[in-house]
Amino acid sequence: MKNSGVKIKIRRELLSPESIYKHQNYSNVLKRHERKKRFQRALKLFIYSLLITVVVLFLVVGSYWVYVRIQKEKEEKNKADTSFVDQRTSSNKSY
Amino acid sequence: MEADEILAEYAILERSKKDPAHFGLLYKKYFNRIFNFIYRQTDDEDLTADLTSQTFLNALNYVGKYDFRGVPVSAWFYKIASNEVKRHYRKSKRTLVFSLEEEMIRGLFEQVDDDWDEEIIGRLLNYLYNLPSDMLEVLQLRFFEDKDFKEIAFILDLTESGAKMRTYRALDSLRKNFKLRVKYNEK
Repeated sequence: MKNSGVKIKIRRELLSPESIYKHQNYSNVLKRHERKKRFQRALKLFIYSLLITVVVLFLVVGSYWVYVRIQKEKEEKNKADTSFVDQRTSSNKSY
Repeated sequence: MEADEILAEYAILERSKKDPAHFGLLYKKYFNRIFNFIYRQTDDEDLTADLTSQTFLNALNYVGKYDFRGVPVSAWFYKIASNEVKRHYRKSKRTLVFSLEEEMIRGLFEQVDDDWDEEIIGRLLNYLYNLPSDMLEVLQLRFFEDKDFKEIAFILDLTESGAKMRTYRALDSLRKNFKLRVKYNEK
């Protein structure tokens, strides 16, 4: 693990506290923190509403599918009943 | 740092979970130290200002997840700062810089006035250049930031004995190379 990619410098002067002080800006840090919090809240809200929409959609599609199946079964049952009645009426006629 | 002071700072951190304005006290207290710590690894004032700001922002964003482990809050800031610097170099693919103050390096040795000259500086640069970056990091934290082994272990995700071993290895090689008495006390 040799430092082939490291540059070593030796400085004669220390950074003065005044020159460091000019970079201090806590209100900016707070502002960025608030922005991030707002973004996270919005993202959470979006994800929850998306989840709710997906669940509702799933329920709607599921119930529609069940409704269609029941309808189909009813139609088939009706068809079977009417064909049975037809068969009986045609056999009566032959007598 | 006394245990009372550590707990007092932790209490400030706890308060800032509810009201981020409290965090400003820790920001003001540690800004200079974190700035210098990052500056030694970048040698660029504007970049250091950005990374320092990002360090405190990350700390504020994750203050709710801070887990008290008996080390000062500042160790947590150093850990975030160290990660920020590493991330910067990973992203930018630039050469890692260690810009150390001559005065601080002189502070490492006990009898500098007689022996300290340009030749030693040159040899020292060469020595540091050949030192693995993990040892450089440990030396920086131990001697320039005055961190104890428990804090170093926390900052670098090592065990305390691992941090000690790394420091002593670096110091032994420093002593052998320079035949100078190196100051260090076991904390």
